[in-house]
Amino acid sequence: MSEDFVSFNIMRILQRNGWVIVQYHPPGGQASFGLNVSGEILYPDLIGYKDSMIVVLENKPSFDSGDVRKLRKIMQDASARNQIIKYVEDFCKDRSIGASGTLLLLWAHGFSARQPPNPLQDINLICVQDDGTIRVTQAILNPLII
Amino acid sequence: MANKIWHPDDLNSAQWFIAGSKIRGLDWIPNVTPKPGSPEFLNLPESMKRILRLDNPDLIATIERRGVDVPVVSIEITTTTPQSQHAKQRVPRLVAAAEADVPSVYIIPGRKKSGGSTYSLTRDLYYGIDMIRLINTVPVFIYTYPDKNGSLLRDINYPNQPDLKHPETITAFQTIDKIMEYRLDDKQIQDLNSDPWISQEIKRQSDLGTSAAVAIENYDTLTQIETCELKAFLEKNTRIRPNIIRQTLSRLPRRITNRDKTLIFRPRGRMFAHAGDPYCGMLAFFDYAFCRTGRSVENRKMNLVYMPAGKSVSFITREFCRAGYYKYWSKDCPFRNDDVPSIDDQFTISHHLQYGCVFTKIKPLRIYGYFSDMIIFRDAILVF
Repeated sequence: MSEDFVSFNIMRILQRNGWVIVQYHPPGGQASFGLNVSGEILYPDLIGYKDSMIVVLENKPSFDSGDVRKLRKIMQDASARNQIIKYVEDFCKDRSIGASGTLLLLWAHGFSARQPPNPLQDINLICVQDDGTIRVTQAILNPLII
Repeated sequence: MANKIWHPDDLNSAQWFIAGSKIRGLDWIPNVTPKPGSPEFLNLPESMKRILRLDNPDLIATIERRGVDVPVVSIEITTTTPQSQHAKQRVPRLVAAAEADVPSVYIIPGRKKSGGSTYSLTRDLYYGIDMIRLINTVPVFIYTYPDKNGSLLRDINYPNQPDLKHPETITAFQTIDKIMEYRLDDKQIQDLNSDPWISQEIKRQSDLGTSAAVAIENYDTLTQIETCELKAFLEKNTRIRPNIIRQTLSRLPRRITNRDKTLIFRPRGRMFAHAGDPYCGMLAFFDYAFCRTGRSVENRKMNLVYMPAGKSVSFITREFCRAGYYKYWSKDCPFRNDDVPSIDDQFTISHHLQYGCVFTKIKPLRIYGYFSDMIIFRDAILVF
């Protein structure tokens, strides 16, 4: 299973469930938004918005501890979180999508369901199956409603 | 009939193409463009490989003819800020397609906001694109990525792709569909140039290019010299010993010495970082804008020399060798193996016996090596 298959199917399922895709950065594509995290530019694979919630995803063919570290690096950096919120607000404003008030940030790592790992405390895990459907392992206090 | 849309691991972009084309009754199968040296690469026709020899385009549409995938159009889509040098990044891909007799469409922002500034597309790109079209007699088109006051308008269903409902994207697809219709009717690519829609689009772009007043002196990275002054130039601008200069110049091919003038491209930036962008593309652009007279790199009215001027890259041993060909040889060259090859290695060795590392070395090496008559370092001269 390729990273593109993982990203593409998660993106489509998010869309079908009413999420607006704000950033989509598959392995063969180009990112539209880069985050400055302590001088390092990071490009989230996928950012979605729905009902005052923002989900930030990193995807790989199989569970990847490097992606988990990248997500934690972003989530622990206040400036990075604010950059994401600002980008989503601007994106929604340009498209007349209401996105005001407190926005809740969610974090998720997508990968193939062939090797399901243990749930994490802080990051939702989204396992993509061979038929493109997904299973979500929700992190504590970090629900992902699909 | 299996028509394919090839993409470099971005299924979303292939589906955007399928949704954007208005030609009915065609079934499209998205395919990942195979990696050189893989078994799948062997299924590609030579015309497709010629498109891939410099870089990997965003999308290539092929139609099947007698069991062969025939490339009909190559498509580039960039969201880069479009100021002068950035806009040229994709030029090598357009050149590779045109030299393989395949039309291409380049979608790039006409303007884009970034960091508090709004950047606009410079018209010299239209001039360079028109030269590629004229020299190869193959249509090449530029369309702008839809925007609203510099904010790019992406498609709501196909994230990161141009808005399919925007008039500019609809016009781009009118051209793409017209190109595909010609090939579906088994007409020659040159016949396209006389099609009313295509000729109208060519004229519109050609007029934009003509209005750009492109001239060597407008680019501060370019120096033009008389070819007979090359020795003095090298003595002044390099640390190469005079006898090495003299002996190297005495071995130049007549093709180079016969041309009166030499154009030297001296960028002060990176060489390989960020895939050599935008310098690889600028080199290809300058070739077509100022040097080329025909489809082969032998057909130039002026020599084209690449001379990396940045401190960290101006010596052959600093980056060109280390991060370039030596690293390639030490890590990837399959001829280093002396044991029984794995299944994958069998295909890689075969590929390299057939093509060398034309398709497998890093993009900047491919492009610098293809477009340069010479590469001048401060400690070495490479002659092509």
